[in-house]
Amino acid sequence: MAKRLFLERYSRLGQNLKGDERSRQALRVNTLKTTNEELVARLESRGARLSRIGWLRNGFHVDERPFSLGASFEYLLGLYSIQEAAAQFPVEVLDPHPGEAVLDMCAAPGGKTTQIAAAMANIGAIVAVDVSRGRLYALENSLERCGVTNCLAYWEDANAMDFKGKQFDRVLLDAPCSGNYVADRGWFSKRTLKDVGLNAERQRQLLKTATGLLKPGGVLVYTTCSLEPEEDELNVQWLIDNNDLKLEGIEGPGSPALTEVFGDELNGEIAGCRRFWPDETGTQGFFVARAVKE
Amino acid sequence: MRSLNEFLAAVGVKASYDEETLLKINTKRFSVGEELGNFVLDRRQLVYAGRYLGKTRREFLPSSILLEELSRVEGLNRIHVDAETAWLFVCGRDIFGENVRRVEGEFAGGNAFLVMFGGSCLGYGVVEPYEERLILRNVLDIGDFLRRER
Repeated sequence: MAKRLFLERYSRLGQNLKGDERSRQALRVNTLKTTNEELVARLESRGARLSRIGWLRNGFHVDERPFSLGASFEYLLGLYSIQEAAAQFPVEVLDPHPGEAVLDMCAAPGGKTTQIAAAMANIGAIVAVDVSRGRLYALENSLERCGVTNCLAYWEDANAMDFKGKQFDRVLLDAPCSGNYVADRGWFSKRTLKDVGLNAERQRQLLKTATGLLKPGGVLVYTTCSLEPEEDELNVQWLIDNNDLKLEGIEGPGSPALTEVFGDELNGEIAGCRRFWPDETGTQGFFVARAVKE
Repeated sequence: MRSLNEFLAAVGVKASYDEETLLKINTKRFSVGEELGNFVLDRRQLVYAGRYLGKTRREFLPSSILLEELSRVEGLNRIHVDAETAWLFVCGRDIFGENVRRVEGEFAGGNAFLVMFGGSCLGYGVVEPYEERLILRNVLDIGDFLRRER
């Protein structure tokens, strides 16, 4: 029942999905410890077969592997992380640099935090915040395994946290969301439109907090793994209507984001955000927006 | 070896830390530079900070970050092992003396050694007698990342 409801919604948005799409396994090379070439040679010498993901700097699909990717010497030494391709894209859009101050607002379990640290070559400051202590244990392990030395991690609700006037060059808001069916086979039986509405409301609170923490000229990347427009395009419309932020177009994979949602016309600049429909990208569903504080 | 400095001395490091300058989160010890230190906001909510050095349980357990740094320092106690022994060590097993391919330092009772495979440090252990021979007792290995996830 719920499956039909959601698939019909996607169809009304112009995408005819089957609801059984799956993504390919992918990894990200940890450039704090190795290079793409070194890691590929090392894994392929042990029988794995990798193919480069053209729209990512350090992302590879895993086509064959005669060993467990999560229990190899290379994994335990932090030479790579297992990270789905679409999930690697937001940090590429954030484009953090060495020496900057970066806030990762809903950071656990830390895949994107370690990716930010690698892009910054461990130089500068990352403040990683998450409200879930359980998920922060995974983040702590990832930081250690990947050799991250420029991160402070806080167990706190980013909306309630006192940042003591600190502002950031870049903020990543990988917001808690309704998720999508590609990564979770039971998704359709768990989700309701009420969840979507509640998540969208909480995401707006986080967007407001994120905007206040940006320096003038600072970059905000807002991302979800939800296909629901209430959590994606409609939140971005709210963001630019209510804050001094200007959207920036994103080059890359996926489709232009929607500018008409269930009959409502949105700001045309929202088309510069990217929407990952699973049937087109071969990834999980994803949405990425980039905005600059004026 | 209950402290960071006792561990460092045991593997042959000449320098030591002023432990008062380290940031402590429960039993964990971190080194935080000035730039990052500007973002230490609420210590009570902090769970991880900068360069993680290790934690003390019954013994000091160095972080994999510290182990990797030490693996590049000349003159420390190290043993080098082959792939099979390396994997058994990562699975939590001790290392029999006869399975050590190369030793840097004196492989004698009570001494601590970093365990090396292919240029990477997999953990450390302490030499102990076992049925008239010597073993390296596994104190910490990187397989701990998997065991923590359970």
